[in-house]
Amino acid sequence: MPKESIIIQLILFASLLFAILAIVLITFMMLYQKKRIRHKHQLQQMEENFNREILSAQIEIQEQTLEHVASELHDNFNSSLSVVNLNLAGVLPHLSGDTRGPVVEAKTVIKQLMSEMRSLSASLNRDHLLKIGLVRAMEKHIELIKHSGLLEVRFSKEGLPCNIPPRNEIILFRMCQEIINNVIKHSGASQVIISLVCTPDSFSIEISDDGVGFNTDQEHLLTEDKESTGLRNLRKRAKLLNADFAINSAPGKGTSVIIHCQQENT
Amino acid sequence: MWNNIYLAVILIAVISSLNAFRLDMARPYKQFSVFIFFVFAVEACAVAWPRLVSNYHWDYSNENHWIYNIYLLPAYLFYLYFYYNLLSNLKIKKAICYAGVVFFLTGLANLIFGQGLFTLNTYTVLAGGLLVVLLSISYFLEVIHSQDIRPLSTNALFWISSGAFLFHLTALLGLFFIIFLNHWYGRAAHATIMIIKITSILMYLFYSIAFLCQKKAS
Repeated sequence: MPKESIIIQLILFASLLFAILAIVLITFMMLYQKKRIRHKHQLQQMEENFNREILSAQIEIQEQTLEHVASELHDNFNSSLSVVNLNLAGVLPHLSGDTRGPVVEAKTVIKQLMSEMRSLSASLNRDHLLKIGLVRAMEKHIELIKHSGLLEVRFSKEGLPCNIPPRNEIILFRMCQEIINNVIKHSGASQVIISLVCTPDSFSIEISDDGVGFNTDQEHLLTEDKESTGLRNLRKRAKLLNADFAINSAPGKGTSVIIHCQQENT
Repeated sequence: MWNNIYLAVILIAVISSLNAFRLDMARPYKQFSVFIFFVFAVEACAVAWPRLVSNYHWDYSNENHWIYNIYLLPAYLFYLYFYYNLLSNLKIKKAICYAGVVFFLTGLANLIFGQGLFTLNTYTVLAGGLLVVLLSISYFLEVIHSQDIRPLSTNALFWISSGAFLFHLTALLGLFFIIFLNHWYGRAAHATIMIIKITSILMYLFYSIAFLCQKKAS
């Protein structure tokens, strides 16, 4: 029956049309969402790069400031102290009896001060750190802390030499300085253990103390605004190195900070 | 043969949907899994009914429309409930509530006073199908305007909506005119039934994908 054939054709055509319409819409949805995801990733990538640039600039400015402070300490303060020392040396032969003792003592203190000033200046100077490397810089910094008598510090290293790019060594050293400062300021610890482990693929630095510790769960609950600037900077710097940054702590059980980085990421 | 393929595909969807429990998906998906099982039971009864009547010489009509008529209202109301739970637009949720009440009352009136139990309730099919198409479109629009951008290939609701949209958009007119065609144009009715079967097979395959594409609890 020709009429029935037309109806069948009509039904087939309408169904096909609707099916194509539905498939086109579904395909469009999938492609559109894929495009949005790609765009979102690009934006995230751009934001991440921008943050990296900002952080790099901040670190650069900080290093320049520290270098300026280091040169001021070395050139001005040390020179002034040398002048005072020379003056004291000049008056010393003319002194006798009770007045000689305090001047000799003052000279000794000034010499010690000059030595500590030189060490401090060296630890702030980027070029000096680049020259001596991370391990030696850490050793010198630890010596400085030991001299102050604030903490007992033990430093162990394994698998050296580490193949860390010089720029990252500076960042790592600054991170370690910040962590040790935090230990001195907040932990009430008497002992700090620093261990540096290098493997062909990765390296890790662990700084543990026997201080009061804190609840890390509460620390995670803090928003970025409330988190301490020091801790936030540490996290940002770790991100800049593509390193994992972890804090393990519990009240009364001390704190352990671990920086772990794959070598290819550095 | 087509009936067996059709039932097998629904069974695959039922088995796949068990992932909703295994992966502890959100509650509406677990309910959807139960719903697919319910659909499978209804379709199996609808296929078995004419055979039972002829094999046991029961004094009933071998037409299985009454099975579908009982199933239609709860099935479409479930779709409304499902989308009510998963869509986030409050205006659409409110519209679903009103549409649900109107649909239920008119569907019930059609079943009792209108087309009756033994004639396929095509008005209910048309209204329910249109509602499902509109809800699927609402979901698609929600995805397009959402700030939470996630891949659709692992989104169960996307696959369910796509399957429902494809079936209801393609088969809706056929379902509406099937009684008329069956009465006057047998071959055309047969072609329409084939189209309905093929598109519903596609729909259940989409439902299977919805549950198989899940990797972890959503």
